[in-house]
Amino acid sequence: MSKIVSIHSFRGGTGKSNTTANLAAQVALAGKRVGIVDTDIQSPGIHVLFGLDGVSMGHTLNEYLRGEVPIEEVAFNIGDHTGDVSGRVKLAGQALYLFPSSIKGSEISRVLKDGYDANKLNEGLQDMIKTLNLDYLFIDTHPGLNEETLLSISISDILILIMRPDNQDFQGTAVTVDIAKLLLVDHLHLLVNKALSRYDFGHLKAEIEGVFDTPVAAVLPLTEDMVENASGDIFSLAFPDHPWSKGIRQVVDTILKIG
Amino acid sequence: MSLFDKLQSELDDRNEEGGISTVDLLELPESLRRIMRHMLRAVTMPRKDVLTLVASWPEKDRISEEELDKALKSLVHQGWLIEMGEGDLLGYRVNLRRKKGSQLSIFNTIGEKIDERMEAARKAAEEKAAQEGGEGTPPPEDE
Repeated sequence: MSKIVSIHSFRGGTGKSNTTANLAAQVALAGKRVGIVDTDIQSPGIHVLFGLDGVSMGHTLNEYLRGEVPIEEVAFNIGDHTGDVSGRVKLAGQALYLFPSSIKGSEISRVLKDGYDANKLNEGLQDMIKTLNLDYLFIDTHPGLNEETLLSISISDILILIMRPDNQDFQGTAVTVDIAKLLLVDHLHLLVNKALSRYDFGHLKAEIEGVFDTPVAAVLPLTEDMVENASGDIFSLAFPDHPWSKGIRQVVDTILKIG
Repeated sequence: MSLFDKLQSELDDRNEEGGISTVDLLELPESLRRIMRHMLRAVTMPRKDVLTLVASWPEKDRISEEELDKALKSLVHQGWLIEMGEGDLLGYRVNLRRKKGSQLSIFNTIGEKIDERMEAARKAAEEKAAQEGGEGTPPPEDE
């Protein structure tokens, strides 16, 4: 059965979109049919990692929510349009589809001003899975807790909560973990990102698992290499031997084992 | 207090319209939260599938068919579920509350300006690329 995987964080700047793109790409590379939907309609960004801009992305989730196009017309086939950067080119021919949100200021304004039909959003998410026969649908959410976020958590089989080893993240993540448990998510995992290399990752993992009573899928290092990549490519494909990429593949193993 | 009574008292305290919000979902009893979650995934869920779902739970968590029907009726009455069909074809779908718009967003003021600037930047980049490409290729001479 298809799985919905939500990637979320309580605070911004945790590396959510980068992580989502990398996890989805690695799962696609494992031969699975994968969709990624950008529900961060206020501040969309994941399209950049796949080399798209406002023109090349084609139809958007915003148009679907206004009833102007069916959801399948929003699907952008990444496997057919990888570009030639060293990482993404590995996705050629893979079944990986992006459902982008518009980056046009007027479109963002319109959806924020008019609101949207939440039933239509949910139907769209379920239709994406059916129409493209997806094994996994990854949802890149807006940080914090709002209606879209809670909806995506409500319908998820797997929730990956990203946090940094930072006291502000600790408190917000605690609230989100409680809510995810109330929403009865089947598989809840924490992912620690941007951990200083000098930390003992094993110790940090054990400590966080103890505090949140929730498994930590991986601890990923803070790295200048990722900053240098500047969302120009899918990092774990471009630099497969990098410790950050190895951590991502650890999370992918966890996701694939769930089914 | 039975599950139905708890739910009814919760619903009586509210006078909201237009479907359930995900925050409302958090406040439902666990058994109903579980059912609503399945309904959201299925989009439409026949009553017989709801009964099968409840029967699959550990005995201590199960609710009786009578209690379940009362709870579902209450949710329909509240506008949180939409009832579809009848008899053997009776089914339900979750009625999510519309995401409200806001006039307060900064994008309402600057949205179009952002687009104009992005379009100008795109055109400038295209013109620059055309000029750079043109430098190496002399225009054809008139015969």
